[in-house]
Amino acid sequence: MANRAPMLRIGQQDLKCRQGCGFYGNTQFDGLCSKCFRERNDKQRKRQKAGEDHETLKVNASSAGGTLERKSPQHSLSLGRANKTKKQPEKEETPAASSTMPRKKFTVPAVLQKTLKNKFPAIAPQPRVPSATESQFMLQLRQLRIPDDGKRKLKSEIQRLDHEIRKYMNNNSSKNVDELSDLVQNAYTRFADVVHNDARFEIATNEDRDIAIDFFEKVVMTQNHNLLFSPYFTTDEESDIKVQKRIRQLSWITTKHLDCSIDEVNAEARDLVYNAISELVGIDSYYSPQEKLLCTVRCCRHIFELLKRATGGPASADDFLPALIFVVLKANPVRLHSNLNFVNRFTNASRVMSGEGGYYFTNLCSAIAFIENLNGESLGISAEEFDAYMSGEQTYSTPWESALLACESLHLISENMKCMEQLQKRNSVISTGIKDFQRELIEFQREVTEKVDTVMAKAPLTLLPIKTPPFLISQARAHLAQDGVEAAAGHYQSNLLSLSPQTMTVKGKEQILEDSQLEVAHTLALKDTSVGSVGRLSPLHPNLPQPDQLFASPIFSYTPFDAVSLLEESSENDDVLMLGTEFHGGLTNINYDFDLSDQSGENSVADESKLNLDEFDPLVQERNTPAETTLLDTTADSLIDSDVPVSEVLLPSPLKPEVANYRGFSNFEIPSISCNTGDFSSLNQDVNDPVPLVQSNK
Amino acid sequence: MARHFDHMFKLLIIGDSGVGKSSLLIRFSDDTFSGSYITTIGVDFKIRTVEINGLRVKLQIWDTAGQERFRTITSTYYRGTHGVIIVYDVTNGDSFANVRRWLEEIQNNCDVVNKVLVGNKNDDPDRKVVITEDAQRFARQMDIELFETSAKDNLNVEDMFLSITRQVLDHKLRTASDEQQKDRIIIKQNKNKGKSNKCCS
Repeated sequence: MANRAPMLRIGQQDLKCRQGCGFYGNTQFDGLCSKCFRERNDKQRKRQKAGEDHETLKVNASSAGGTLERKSPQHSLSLGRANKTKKQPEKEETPAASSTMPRKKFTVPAVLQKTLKNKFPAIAPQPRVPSATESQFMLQLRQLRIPDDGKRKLKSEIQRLDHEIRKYMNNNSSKNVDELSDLVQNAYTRFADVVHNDARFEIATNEDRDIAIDFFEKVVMTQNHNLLFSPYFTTDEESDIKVQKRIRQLSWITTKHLDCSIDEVNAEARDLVYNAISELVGIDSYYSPQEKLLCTVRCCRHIFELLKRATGGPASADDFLPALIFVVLKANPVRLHSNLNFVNRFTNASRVMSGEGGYYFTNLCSAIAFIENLNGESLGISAEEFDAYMSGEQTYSTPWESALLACESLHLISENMKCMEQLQKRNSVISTGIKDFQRELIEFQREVTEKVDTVMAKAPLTLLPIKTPPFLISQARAHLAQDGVEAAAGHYQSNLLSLSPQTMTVKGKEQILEDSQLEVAHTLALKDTSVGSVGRLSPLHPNLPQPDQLFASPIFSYTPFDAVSLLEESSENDDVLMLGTEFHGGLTNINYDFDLSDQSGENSVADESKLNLDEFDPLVQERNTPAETTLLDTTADSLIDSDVPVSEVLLPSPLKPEVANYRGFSNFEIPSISCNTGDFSSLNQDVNDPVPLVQSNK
Repeated sequence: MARHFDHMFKLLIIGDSGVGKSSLLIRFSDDTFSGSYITTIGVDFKIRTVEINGLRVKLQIWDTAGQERFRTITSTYYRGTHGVIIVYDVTNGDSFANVRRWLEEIQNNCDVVNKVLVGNKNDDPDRKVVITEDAQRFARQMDIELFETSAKDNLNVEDMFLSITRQVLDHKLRTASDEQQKDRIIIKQNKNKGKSNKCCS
């Protein structure tokens, strides 16, 4: 906070002179123009006045603290460690002052003076809650392994130095940072003397004494950091800005220029460089010089690790310093000079002169000195080249930035490669899975086929021909043989006769009326001849039985027709006649349908075996009924059998198939009969055509 | 101060780059990776405790970059240095010629300091270009003790370090006002100065 304020102040004043007044500043006037300088002088005078006021307050405060201080030992003597609670208010006052006072001092003294005045009475009576760092220090103080007396002494020394610092900061109008440094260093030596020689620390080990000294330094420096870090009366900030600009200008410097063995492209090396950079930048975030030094040490250790990996052995200073310079250049830490000066001035002098921290700190200082003074020669390039780079006329082709870019890309690439590897792995897993699955499938298939085969082997499926009872076969054979012989012999007649009744039933009935009109005697005579003639009509003959057969089997619907026809017959003679002919045709059609569908192949067998087959035929019963009816009919018709028209009925049938062919093949087409019957014209034709034929045969 | 040692000296190794400063250092410090070696301190910062005349002396050896370009910035290293080891390479004439410049450097940066001249890489007679006699003559002329060592073969390294340590210790004891006391005197003066300042204001 404290150092930010002066920074602002400087900036404003710079603006004032260059932009506000337009006059040039003068180094004698601290870089200000005369007008502004005068103004500032006025301000300073005011400030000094305020400081004096302040001082009076301060004295009061310190005296208050002093009383407390004086009291505390007595308390502690009696109470021992219980005095810790007492310590808090004592300690607390100083930081309170330190945190508020200095800021006021160099920012807006008049305003803050008031607040200070307001604050002080408030603080004095009731102690504030200590801040986090304060309480931490209190804890650490308690944990120190030194006698309580020593602790008390340590505390009082801390407060003394605190007061001294503040007094110096507030008192002197002309301040010198070296004086301040000396003051602090003297305090350190004094305290070291006390620790090592005072009776109160006698029982403590050397280590504990050193820790106590460290603690002393740490506490004082942390509490007064804002006062001592880059004090406004120094040029630390200017040099900070200068070196920062310088480093920015030198951004083109690469590892090659510095001959350092950092591999900028190597990811591991880059990580270490990043670590070193972050540590280096982190220096600014610590308060005490020790912590800043520790930060430096960590940074340098990263660099050593880096070099060890790069060179494959312990690194030497020849490698280390260039690498450190490179890291500083790339880190460009803020307030570099302020930090270095702070450590240089206010840490225990022996710390920077010896020890690991000192060594690395010295190297860091050297690196910065090198950066500030470097020229073309020190980088191994010509002065012209150096100037060209510095002015930005020439851009270096492969600076760290491009390397960084490349690194980023490389990083991305490596990330992607990793991703790809994973994907590849997954892919291979999948492909192996697929292969396995394929193999399994094949195996499964094989297994299944094997099983099927074994099952097949165990229980072979032999498609046996439809079992026909042997006697039937023999009969059929016999019949076939007979057929060939008796086709012409008229054996068929009997057969036909047996069958004919079926046809007769239908056709006969229909024709009853027709026939009735004819002479009975004549018909009888004719019947014999007709039948005989039909039997002898060889080409048509084999076909004839079929309709009969089929007729026999599926004629369920026959009886109704018959009934209807009969009814009709009785009622209306003329009409019935017409119907009769129609029916006749339709029925013949149907007959042929069945004929084609079922019996196409087995005419010869079926025709004769009809009776025998009944045993096996599922339709037997159904057939039986029509058969019965037919029988009845036949008996009824037998009288009419002799009628001539009978032959008419029978004859057209063989020609029908051609028409019927297109009707389909199933038994169930029977319902369509009605539709077909509707087609009078065709039927009439069909019916009419064969008639002459038959008649001609007659 | 601390129990581990009676004295602590800071030694500086200087010389051209590549003369083997670091290897000397590593040889000396790592050779005795014993209890005396403080492991808590980084490996890269070389510390070794030796015993001379019954006194435990902790040696803190600061390695420096020898490159020409860093010549101007080495001043900071000399702060608080008790002894300087100037190293040259017996196989490299230039490094020996530069010894004079290094001595000037020391002269400029610190007043009274103990020095030792070391011709390193003295392990291959065929490649040796800096003759011992020349070096000896020069050393005598400059009033410095000369050692020809080989870090590779561990030749004379221990002796050289012990010699400079003894020299520093003798110097310290002889002056009878060790650094601490000197500092104290200076500090006292400072203190007085500070007080007077305060009084003035």
